[in-house]
Amino acid sequence: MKTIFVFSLVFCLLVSQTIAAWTWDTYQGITQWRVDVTEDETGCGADAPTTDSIAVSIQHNLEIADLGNMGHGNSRGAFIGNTLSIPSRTIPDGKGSSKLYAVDLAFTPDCLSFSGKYPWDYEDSEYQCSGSTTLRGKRLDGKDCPGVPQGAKEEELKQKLVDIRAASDNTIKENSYKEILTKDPKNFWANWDMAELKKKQGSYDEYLKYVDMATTNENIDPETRQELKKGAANRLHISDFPTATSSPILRVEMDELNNWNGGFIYNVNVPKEAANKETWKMKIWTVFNRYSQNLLNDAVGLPKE
Amino acid sequence: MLFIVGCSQSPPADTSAPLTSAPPVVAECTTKECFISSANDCKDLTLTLTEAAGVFTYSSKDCVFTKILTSLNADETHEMKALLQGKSLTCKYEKGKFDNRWANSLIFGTEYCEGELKDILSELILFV
Repeated sequence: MKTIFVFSLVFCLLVSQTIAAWTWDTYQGITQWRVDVTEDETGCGADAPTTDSIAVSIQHNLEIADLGNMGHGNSRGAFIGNTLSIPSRTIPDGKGSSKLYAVDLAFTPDCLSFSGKYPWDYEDSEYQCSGSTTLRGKRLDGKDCPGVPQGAKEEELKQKLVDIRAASDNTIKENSYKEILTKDPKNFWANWDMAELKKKQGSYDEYLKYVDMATTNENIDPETRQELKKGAANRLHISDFPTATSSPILRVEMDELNNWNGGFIYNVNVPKEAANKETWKMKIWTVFNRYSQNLLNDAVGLPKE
Repeated sequence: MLFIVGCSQSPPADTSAPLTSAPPVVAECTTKECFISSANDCKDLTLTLTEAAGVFTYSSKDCVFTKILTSLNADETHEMKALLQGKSLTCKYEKGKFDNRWANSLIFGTEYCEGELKDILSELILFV
């Protein structure tokens, strides 16, 4: 098991490094933003800076990015890493023109926001003044960096779980899981680990609540169940997955599950559910099988607690 | 031949007669209902029944229940037979607290029982 732990740790570290290396200059596609544009024209006679909120799209083509109109017309810039450099340019403005100075827009590593500020000089035949424009953008079309494979996100989460599980204080563990679940209430792993924590604390109602949330996660459940089946087949030395159709004893088990009206399994009061039989069976297995926590950890390469 | 005839003509033992050192009472049952009732009284008995999943041998001795999956249904694969045939589980109980699910169910009620049969059947829930 130490080998699995070390392997998982190294693998997760490698994956997390990969995730940390994700930058906007590697992305092709369109993103949507809400940008607060603050114009400071006090140097041109305005009483105070004004802010408008504008919806803008950015077309990404690796290093090149074309930005929609944020008050000064469309613009093009170049990404290096997560910094978008927009060169100086002069645009028609009223009776004259404005020279917009070069600006570096700093995009945050979580890919959810950016900010930058550039000065400008206005000039027409009769008048000159200077001011500045501040841009603060918030992503509208996602909660993660676009294009990061789902698997990599899951591996990043695994790394977090490794860290949380390494904590010796249960309060720290619980708070860490809650933090994940605040952002992602149906997160399989946080719910799964939280369930195990509650079982150890003897809070069986809460245990079932978190098992419920974990096993009804439609995104991870089918894949995880398939891995669990593979693991079970290996342990039981069976080459083909038996089914209720091919195996009379499984048919009897299936009938028992279907006819069961709920009740206590160990100390957990498990209600009858018929809506989704797959998640229902997964739940029964989770509660009934004393080793389910460790079996699932093995199936997906997570260390045991 | 004389020996055999002589034996066959011996009167049957009187099982109701009191013995100086009393052996445990062995109940006779042919149904699950009878078995459950007797086992609940912690009587020593054994019952073998052919069911949909296969042939099961249920026994009770000293308030310990044992279920053996003696043989599987002929339609099972060779692997499933090798996996399950001869496997057993045992459940300890107090007189009057026999759980009838032990004899009526493959899964339910066996949480606190021990044995390979229980472990394997709980794994197989994944495949149902």
